[in-house]
Amino acid sequence: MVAVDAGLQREAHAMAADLLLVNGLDASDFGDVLLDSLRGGGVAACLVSSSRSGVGLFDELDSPHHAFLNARADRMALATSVADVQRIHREGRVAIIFGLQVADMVEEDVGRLVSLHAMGLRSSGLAYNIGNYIGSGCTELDQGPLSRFGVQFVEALQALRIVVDIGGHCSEATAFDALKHTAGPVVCSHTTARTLRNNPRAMTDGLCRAIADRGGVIGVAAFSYFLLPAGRGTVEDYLRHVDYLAKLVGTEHVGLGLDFILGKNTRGPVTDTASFPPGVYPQSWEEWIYPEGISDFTGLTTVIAGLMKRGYSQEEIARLMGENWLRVWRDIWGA
Amino acid sequence: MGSLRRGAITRRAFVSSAGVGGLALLSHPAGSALPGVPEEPSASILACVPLAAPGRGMTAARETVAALRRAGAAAAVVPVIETEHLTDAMRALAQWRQMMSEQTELCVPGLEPIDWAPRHRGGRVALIAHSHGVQWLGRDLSLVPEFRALGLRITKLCSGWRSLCADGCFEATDLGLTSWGRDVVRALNHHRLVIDLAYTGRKSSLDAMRVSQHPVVFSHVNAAAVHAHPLNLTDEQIQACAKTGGVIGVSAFPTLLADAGATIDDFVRHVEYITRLVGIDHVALGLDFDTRRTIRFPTDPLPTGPYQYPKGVAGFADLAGLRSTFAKRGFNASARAAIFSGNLERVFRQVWDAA
Repeated sequence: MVAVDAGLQREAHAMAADLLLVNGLDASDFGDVLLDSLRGGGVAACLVSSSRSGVGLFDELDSPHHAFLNARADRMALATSVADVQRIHREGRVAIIFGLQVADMVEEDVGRLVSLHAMGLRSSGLAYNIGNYIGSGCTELDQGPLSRFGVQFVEALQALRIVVDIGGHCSEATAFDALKHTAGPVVCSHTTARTLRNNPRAMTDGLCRAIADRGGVIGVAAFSYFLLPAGRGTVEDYLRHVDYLAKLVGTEHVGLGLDFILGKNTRGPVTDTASFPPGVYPQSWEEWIYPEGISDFTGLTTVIAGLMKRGYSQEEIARLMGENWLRVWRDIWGA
Repeated sequence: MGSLRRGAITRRAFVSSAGVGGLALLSHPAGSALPGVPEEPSASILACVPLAAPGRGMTAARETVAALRRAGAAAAVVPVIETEHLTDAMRALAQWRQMMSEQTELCVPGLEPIDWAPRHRGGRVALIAHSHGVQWLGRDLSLVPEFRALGLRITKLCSGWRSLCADGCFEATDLGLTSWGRDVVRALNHHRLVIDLAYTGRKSSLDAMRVSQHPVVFSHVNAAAVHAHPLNLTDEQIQACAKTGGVIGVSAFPTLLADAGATIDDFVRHVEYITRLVGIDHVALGLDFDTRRTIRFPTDPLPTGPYQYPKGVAGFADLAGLRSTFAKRGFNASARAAIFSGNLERVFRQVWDAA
């Protein structure tokens, strides 16, 4: 088991009750397994992202997502502003934010972002591992800056005040180019530190600093394979990345980007090897795992205890566990 | 009878490529003369004939087909899909079939080489459906055989702007083929669609030629060594294309021929240059007689039109004269046959008939 003593765990539990816990990105199936875990972990707000990239996502956001929100309206609600998040939290419900990890479904028409924004979209990634109309992906052999359409796309995101989510899944060249064509805070919703774990999905110190310099936030993913070269690991492996990044760029610029896949019961070999190539991703779904102690939202108390043990103050822990996301979202969304 | 037809095609077909969204046409053979159609020793196949581009309308399309027929073309590659995504691309193919069904006296669908066999087409033009990109494919390779079933026979990977597969030559960047692009090339090979690398960026096109197991074409671009332009091909690209067994359809689009005041000599010079570099087996007519282009970004390196095509290579009526021009420039009968139809026909046969 994870080495945190019972006294510290009790203190962490007490502290968690006073904090606003925010997950900057999740990939779980949008259903009861996720909702139960969020409530079990006392999470105030969670950005959910679809794994679908095609235009069918319009339908998903429009009906199944909204239908599920309506069906569980006593326990959750869609937030499109930080004021919404705070209100929904006060009401004892979980605030849900819609985000995209990849913008393939916009195809070559930035006009679609207007509709997506109206449907509640508040954050968008650029490319997901492989290249698209916008930019290049982190697993491509040949990586480079935004395309001409990509420049138009990030400008449109900014005009609509949708969070520009760079890094992690897109290539570093595309991420740096997106920084050049945007102003104000941008984020990386879910990644890890490449210095600790050399994997294309993990971000370099240089890109982390660049995002922090712009007032942004880097969400730390809990996916085992991006934390350590082999095995499942423990919450200590997760904390190692949080701690490293907090020391690198400051506690104002690091947050949770857990990227769980709760409720997704995929089995067997990974078939889409173009998107999930060997060496970057485990090639069997059974190995898409999360560390002991932080494999769902109920593990957040253990994360808090670990930060306390490492000497972080309550104020710093509050930032890392949620306030940073709220600050940057307020900066970008405007309320 | 069937084998006789095939023999006749091989000897008589001539390929001329007619530019972006080309239409390959074979001129009608001796012995099947139609009223008003000149006798030709062999018929052209054109690699790029813009026919039904957005806004041109059915009347213009019909006029183009009629002009091809008058010129005795056997087959022509016509861009049916421009940059449409799935639904609109399917609609474009449906409209193309509708157009053909309304003018069965002028054209036949070019689905197999037999379609431009003299007796089969009876003096009509076989129209080969082409797409300017694979936007319609999205991330779903199962659509490749579906689009083949709808009549598509040749497609570009990229319309000049970066696609899911490749970087384009309108971009400031020159990235290689994406991993998805490699899968798409393999799927197009597998389902026997010809890959057209015109407008694909240099690095991506070289990658695609390394991956492709079949010959590729550049349907309507020229040699950069003769006239430097982002769309024109480097020697490395021309050599790589020849190595696949492929063909370059030389374009008469003035911007790709010379800086200003392009003439028919410039057109011939591009053909001669490619021939000297890789031999007579890898050049065809791309022509690309076009009236206007879609300009998406101010940086796109093409003028909006109208375009001044050089005298002597300004329309399909010039095909016969062009043949004489090549004869005067020292291209013998077999070289002319290769340029006007044989080379393109060879590629179509090789790709479409692949086991």
